[in-house]
Amino acid sequence: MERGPLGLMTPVVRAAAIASGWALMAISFATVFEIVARKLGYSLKSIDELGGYVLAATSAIGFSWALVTRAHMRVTIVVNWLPRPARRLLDAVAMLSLAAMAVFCAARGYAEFSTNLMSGRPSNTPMQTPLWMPQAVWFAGLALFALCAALAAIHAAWLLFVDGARLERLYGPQTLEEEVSAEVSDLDSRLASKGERP
Amino acid sequence: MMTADAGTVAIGFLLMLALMAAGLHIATVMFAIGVIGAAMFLGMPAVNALGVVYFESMNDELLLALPLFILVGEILVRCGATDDMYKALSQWLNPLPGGLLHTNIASSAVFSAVSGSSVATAATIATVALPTFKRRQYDQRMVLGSIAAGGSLGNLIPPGIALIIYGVLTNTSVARLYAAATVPGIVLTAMFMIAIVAMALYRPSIAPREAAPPPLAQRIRDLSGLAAPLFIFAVIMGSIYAGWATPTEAAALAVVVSLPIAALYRKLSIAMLHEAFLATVKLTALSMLILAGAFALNFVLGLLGATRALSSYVGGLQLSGIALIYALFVFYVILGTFFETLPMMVGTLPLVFPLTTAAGIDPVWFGVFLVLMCEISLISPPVGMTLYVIQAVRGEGSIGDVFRGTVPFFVTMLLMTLLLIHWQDMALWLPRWVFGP
Repeated sequence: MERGPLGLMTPVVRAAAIASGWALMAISFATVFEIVARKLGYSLKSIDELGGYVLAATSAIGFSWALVTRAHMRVTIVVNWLPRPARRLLDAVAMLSLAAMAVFCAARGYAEFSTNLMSGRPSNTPMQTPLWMPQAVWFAGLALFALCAALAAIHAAWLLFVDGARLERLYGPQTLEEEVSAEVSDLDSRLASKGERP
Repeated sequence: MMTADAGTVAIGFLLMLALMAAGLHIATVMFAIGVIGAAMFLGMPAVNALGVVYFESMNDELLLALPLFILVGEILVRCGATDDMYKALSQWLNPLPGGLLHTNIASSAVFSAVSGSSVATAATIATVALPTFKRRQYDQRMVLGSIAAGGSLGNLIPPGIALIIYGVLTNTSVARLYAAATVPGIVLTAMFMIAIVAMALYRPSIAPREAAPPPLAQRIRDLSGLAAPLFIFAVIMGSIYAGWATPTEAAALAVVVSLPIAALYRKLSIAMLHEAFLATVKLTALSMLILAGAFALNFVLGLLGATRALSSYVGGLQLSGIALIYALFVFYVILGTFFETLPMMVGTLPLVFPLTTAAGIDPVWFGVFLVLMCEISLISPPVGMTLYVIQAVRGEGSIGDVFRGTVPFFVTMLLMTLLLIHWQDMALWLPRWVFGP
């Protein structure tokens, strides 16, 4: 299946997404440890703060994973009624505006990160984490998202002029069939080992 | 600094709906409206402050419950626990008029108690249920409708993720929201089953009589099929209401507990976990991107004084609380035919919530009401992912069958909404009893 420039990014993004999954698992175990420790009258205190950082990092990294799997949400019911050229134009506009947002966020994220790196500003919590530490991971996620979105937007804009059909296939909203078959093939793989569905 | 009046806010809201309809990404639109509003009325310092808002909103310990509950559901779905559950419930429910249709509702209710996602619930139950119905003479539409309706219970029965998102966006206690949604969740399940009984009595042809159930001893033994989901549910709710854990900590506990359960079903493996991680991260990220857009929008609307302008405007209309609720009821049912749950809720809350507060509507009650509206949107055609997923699992016939099958359940949900509006204590007595007024 053709993937365009995002196809090149997929292995990196997928690995990062799996790593964030492990981070979620780790924070779960740490939290359970904290619940038990608290019952025994002693607390690590700062697990919830770490949890917030894990969420920020997981989300920022996940943005790219949702992008390469075309999962970011769009309303398609109105667009589907439009004539094909208008629809393709809107697909390109959607990718360009997504990229603009991603780049803006990464830039703001960098400003946050670099300011806090210079000043060494700590978090407003007992742990006093230097904020640049979690923000480094967060910013890396946003930068990856900005890179992927910019690549996709440039490719989509170029395709608008040279290959509209390909633009639709790569950057149009998932058709209903694609969306459903993604959901169901996922289910097939869940149940495959039991031989319930062919 | 300028402030916005109600007219400007209305224009902004309509612009937002128009851009969403044009097929731009939901998150981009909310973010862009926030940035444009900030740049037009407040200047660059406010635009630059959005970076801080972004980090603050994504770095939220309470919202961590979102990926954790999603992860629990993804792990359990991959265990195959649903088959045992379906069998156990069917043996008890088959004697009712409507037979196996009840099991679709009940097993969805039980499964949704541990899975945050309605679409995943419907897909999983459909995969187990549809082959079972193949050999039986049931009315196809009723079969499909009952699976769709059951899937929609997912958000109402705790611990749903919609209530967490509502709680974070409106600063409402998630533990209170869970308590408030419990009774309506049970009542709606019961109403679905009553609807099935009524239809089966009125038109017996929709459901054949099932064979006599196996002996009591075996039925009791097979109840072990319910053990996994009920155990996780008990761990989550128990740890929250015993005061040991916050909702987020309870979600972490559930993740840890789901691992030995997966091991018992002999499904625990690195490959399985990685699949679950990828699905979890995807769903988390797409929700968080929209949420971050909503936070940016909220922040700007707050600075603009837009919510105050709107509240005082609506206050000037002298609408009673009930009139406002009915207006929102109609608004959400219409919006729900075009929108998926998340954008519908997140896109409207920044404007709607201040209105309801100004009108004296209880925020906990409104959370339950809004989630019920979201459930209605899930099964109202033509946009309703659940319906298409069920049709895809079925793999034959027409999507029209699914649409028609949901009609009786759609009507039941409208009745349920009326009940919830006029008997608000249905939602509010349990949180009041548990936590005090």
